[in-house]
Amino acid sequence: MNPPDLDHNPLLDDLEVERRAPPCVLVVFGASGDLTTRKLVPALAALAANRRLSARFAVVGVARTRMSDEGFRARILEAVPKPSAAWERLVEGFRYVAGDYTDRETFLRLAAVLGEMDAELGTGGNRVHYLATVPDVFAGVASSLAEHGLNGPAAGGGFVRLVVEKPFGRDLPSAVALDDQLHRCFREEQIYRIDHYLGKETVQNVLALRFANSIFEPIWNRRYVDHVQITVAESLGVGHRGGFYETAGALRDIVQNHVLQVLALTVMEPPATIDAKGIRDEKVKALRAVDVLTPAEVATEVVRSQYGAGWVEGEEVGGYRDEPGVDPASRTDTYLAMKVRVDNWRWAGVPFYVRTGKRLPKRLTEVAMQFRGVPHLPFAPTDAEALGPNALVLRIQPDEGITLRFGAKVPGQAFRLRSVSMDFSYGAAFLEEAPDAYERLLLDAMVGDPTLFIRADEVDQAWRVVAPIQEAWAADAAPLPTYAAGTWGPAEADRLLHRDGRSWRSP
Amino acid sequence: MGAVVEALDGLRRTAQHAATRTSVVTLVVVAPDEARANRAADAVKRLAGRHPGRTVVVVCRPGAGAGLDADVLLHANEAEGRRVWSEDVRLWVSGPLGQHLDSLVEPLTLPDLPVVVWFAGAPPGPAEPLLAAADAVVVDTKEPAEAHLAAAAALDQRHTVLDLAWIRLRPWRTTLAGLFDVPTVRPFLGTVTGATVRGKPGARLLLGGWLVSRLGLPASAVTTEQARHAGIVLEAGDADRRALVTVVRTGDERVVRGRAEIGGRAVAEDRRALADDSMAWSLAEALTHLRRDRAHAEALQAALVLAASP
Repeated sequence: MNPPDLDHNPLLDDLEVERRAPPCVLVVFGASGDLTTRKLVPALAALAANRRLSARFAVVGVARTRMSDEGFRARILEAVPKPSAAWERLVEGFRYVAGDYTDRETFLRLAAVLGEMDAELGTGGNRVHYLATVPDVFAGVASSLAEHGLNGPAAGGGFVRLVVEKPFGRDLPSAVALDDQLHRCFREEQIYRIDHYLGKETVQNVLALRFANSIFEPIWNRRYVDHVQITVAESLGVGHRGGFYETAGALRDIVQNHVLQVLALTVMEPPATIDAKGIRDEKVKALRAVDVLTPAEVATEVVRSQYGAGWVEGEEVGGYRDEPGVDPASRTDTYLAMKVRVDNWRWAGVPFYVRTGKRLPKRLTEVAMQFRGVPHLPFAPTDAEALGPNALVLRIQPDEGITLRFGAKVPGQAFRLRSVSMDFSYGAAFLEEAPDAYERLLLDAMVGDPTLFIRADEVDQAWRVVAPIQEAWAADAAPLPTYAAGTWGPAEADRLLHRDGRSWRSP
Repeated sequence: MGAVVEALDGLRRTAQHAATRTSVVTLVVVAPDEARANRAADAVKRLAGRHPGRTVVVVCRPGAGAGLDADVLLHANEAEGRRVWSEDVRLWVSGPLGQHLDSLVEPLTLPDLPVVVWFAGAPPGPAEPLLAAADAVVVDTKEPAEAHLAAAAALDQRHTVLDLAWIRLRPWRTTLAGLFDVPTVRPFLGTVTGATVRGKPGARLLLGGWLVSRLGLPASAVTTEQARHAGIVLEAGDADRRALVTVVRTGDERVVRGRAEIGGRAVAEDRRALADDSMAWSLAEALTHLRRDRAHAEALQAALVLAASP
């Protein structure tokens, strides 16, 4: 019988999903770890259930943990409570290579397994290498892949890509060094740096809102915007990840990546095309316009803090320094608030107030754009007492959607005004379930669409903004202010806005 | 009709719901009797706020004299932890007004939103005035199947037709398509020699038409059989190697089971749960994908050929 034509199934024609991964092997380094079972496997299973994976897709797990192929498959299946038949079928072809990342034997066996898979499953020489490991081994794994010829397509193969999880370095020099090492082994267009925030539907919706509608762009600038508040709040503490968090802190863990990515999407110029180059070029341009703080400005414009004991969502919790794995004398920031300036024609003079922290009263991420008041309010002041400024709020999580706040007349004989909110909620308007961020990003990596991944120069620009803060803090031995868990941060963060005649939103 | 619109506005004021509504559609249901109107209205309520908007249910009453009665209602659904308000209008129409439903419905449509007209009885003829206002037409080509299929095919020439019967068959189609995605089964896709489709008349003709149009089978290769549930049996291969691919639903199970056998040995299986509420589910699917379905259009034409075959 002739080899099957797996490229077109006419029965799928009207059922065809718009994006489907080509045949490939996903090589997961760190396959026995938490990220794989908690995020990657459920995302892959969902893709399989929605028929977005090729019938010639497989995973090879690589890690130090000793495990057989069968053991790995069982572990994969356990990570998905109700697997679809399509997923179960695919898992039957998964393989596992146990070995140290510094051992040549590991990569020799990996190369052999990949060759077997191409022959048996028809995966076509296409590979996506996913580094779900600690960052310390990124460079070493990349080098070993290159040394064993696994950084380029096999004969007849189409693509080889490298997916790298954040953090991309600990500071600017280490980020540059990591990139140098990766670039010795892979071309930039092969490298896909993940910031999972970009996989969120609502983050992508910032692009839709700004660039698919004509009504917002004319007011999206300094003439109309008074200030912008970006909040990334978590109610959880560090949990069992205290050891890791001690090496990170809010600045590295959240601000350097998620916050600056959201900021870039908010302030960027419209791209000519919504494609990888178009969007990323504009993001880099936007980040370049972010003002770098002097040490004196770090002292006045940046507030760092740590959570103490308190009550969060009805539960009494301990302080950061009481968490397992945390130094009792730790100076790691679990909270950060800062004032960011974007020095370009569109945004000069508009402050961007950013805050992020753990053990805040609730979990939420939003971008709140507050507009200037009208040049002249013709109504009697007593009639307009309840009138607040216009605001456009992009709710990224939870309750994803958009809120527009505007003034309206209170029904009655008098001409009283008050603010009202108009809400658009994704959940109430669309039946389609938004894919999980990792589903979107994994599919994009396999399809070869880098739009939602971070380019090298974006990483550089983000570290450029963060580096002066790190340097200033390293030289600053002043005691860290604390905030009670379950509050919105220290008083110093409130003063950051009060000085400018503003105050934080109550989201 | 002005009084009906005023009544809707009045309801919002007196109910103190000054918050704006989230609306995505005006859904007009044209029902030949109260029973079908109630079934359709219940299905809309069971969408549970996923497609909030205004629903106008028009019940055509017998009688020569012109008559119009109306009822308006605001109701809330919980969706994603939020209350979403929808508006229901019921119109009882008799006499010559039944020939001018468009004039009754137009004042009630929400501005700038799609108008979807659901004919809860037989699909309309092409001259139905309400079609001019419709962005999409929902029908259900159940029984009598051939007449409904022919009407739907005629409508499909000029309108976006969403057939609930076709949508309900999606689990069968997805299961069959998925079985042929298995590498060992795929070679047999081009060597299908015969198909048996079972079910009620509308379902089996649509499935048969789908197989004919997708696989290029001659109508003579498709056998249709009456059965309680839809089912597909495909035979493929040659004398040396035969494949049997089946998609069936048995008994009272709300599950569709697919199976592919090669040489008498099972090589792939799949199962797909059916929605508990197939009417609400199919309606929700129709309202989500307000676009013409080319595969459906081709299946309809092929189904008519099958229906006419001896």
